[in-house]
Amino acid sequence: MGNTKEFDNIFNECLEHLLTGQETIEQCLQRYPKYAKELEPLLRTVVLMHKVADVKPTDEFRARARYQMQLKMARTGSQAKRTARVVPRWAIAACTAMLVFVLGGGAVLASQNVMPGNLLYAVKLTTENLQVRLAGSSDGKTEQYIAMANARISEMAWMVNNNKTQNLQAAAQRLNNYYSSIGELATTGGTKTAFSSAAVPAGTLATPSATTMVPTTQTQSLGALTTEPVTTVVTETSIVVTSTPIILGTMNSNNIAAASVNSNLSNSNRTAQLLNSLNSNAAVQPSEIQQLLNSDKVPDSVKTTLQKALAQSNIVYQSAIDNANHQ
Amino acid sequence: MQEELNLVQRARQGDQEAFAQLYEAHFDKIFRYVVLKIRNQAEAEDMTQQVFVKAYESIGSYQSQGVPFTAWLFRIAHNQMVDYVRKQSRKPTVPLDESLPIADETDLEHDVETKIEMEKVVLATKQLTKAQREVISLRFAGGLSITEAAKTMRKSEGAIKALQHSAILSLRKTLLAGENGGKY
Repeated sequence: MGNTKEFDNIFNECLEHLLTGQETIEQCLQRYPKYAKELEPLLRTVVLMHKVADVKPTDEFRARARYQMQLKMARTGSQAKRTARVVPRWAIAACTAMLVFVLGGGAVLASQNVMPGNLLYAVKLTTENLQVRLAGSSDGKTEQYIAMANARISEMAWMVNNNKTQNLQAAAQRLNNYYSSIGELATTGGTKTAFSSAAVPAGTLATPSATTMVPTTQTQSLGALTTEPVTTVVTETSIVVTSTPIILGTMNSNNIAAASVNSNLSNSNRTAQLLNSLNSNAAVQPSEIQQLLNSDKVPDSVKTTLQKALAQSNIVYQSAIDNANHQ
Repeated sequence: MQEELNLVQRARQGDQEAFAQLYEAHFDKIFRYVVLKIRNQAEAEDMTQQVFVKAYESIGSYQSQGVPFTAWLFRIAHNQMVDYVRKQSRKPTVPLDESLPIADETDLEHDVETKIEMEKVVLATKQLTKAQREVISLRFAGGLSITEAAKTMRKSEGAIKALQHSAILSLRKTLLAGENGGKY
């Protein structure tokens, strides 16, 4: 190494650029060819370390933590300061599970009527997620996801009508996640957990603005639903729906749940039943979604996410058609 | 930066909405910092909550005096960690949590080699000194700048850069030794 101080400075500069995403390893090496041989292994280690450190909190934990923080703040707002006590996570989960089991459609489910922004909304989401976990079969999980999707659509409509659009993106992203999970369940029979990273990616609850969505390059108006096959192109840069979509979330949950996944059925039978279910429900008019897509109050970024959600539901439909055609 | 100063000022005066915004802005960073250090998801979740409860209780007495809010918050996290490690030292070793939700897990499922390499990096960090580990955690997981890390650790910026450099060198050497059949 010719000049240690110079090398240190260059290394620190490149490291800073890598961490902040301003530059790639290759770009840095090109700028400093003299030191490339020594720099490269170190910078590769930096990138690896950065990947190791890039752990994200789960959606469930985020909701639980926020709820506890809100409780803490509400308590100290009306009472004298007291010693901090965080309720252990297992206790929250156990209490929620117990309430769901014991009360069924009672107290916890009363939170189902609350809307985003309400103190109890986190409870609502946590309870819903818990219900997916508690659903023993894939059918049950699918049914729950559909119910959750319908709830998010209704909430989005409510938010637009009440000019409370700050949580729209989060709701649209969740909708997208649910459709991904339904597709996953339909194609794998639920062998993969519904709480995989694809089902509940971090960042969707607390910071909707952090969700990166690339603008749609082409948007078509979504007309009346038909049972015609749709062509959906999903690339890294765009989502283009070239025909009328099928809205999975508006389908009859019993039908699709029964049709989508049954561990005793072969893949081909499951696919055929899913296809039938999609066809029989395709005439349902997703007026709420269409209103959202047509509304001036809904930001383009949210519409993009909604389009992506639609694309997800179309992928399930399309793959069902493809599978059926191959049989 | 000015916006954060305003939020901190408002939060100090009991504005809960301001504190909530600070909470949202720093939640992921604190969680990443904690989880990288203790490598146990459940414990990291509990500890992250405790950090913010502690911050909420203490924000009224926070006075910047050259210590940015971020540095103050990470010091709380660090102190919680010290308590945790002290308690853990009296218990059997906590195993690494292999189910930690890595950001691009979906890709990694198809890239076993990368995943193995990353696990080696985690093991290699055990060879670092405490100060080196702290710098790496603050910079890579917490996303702190050199200046913020320096304020958090009460060191000069030059010292942070030197620690960071030596940590990366050490990691590299340990990884190389592993590749050549050596032990971590």
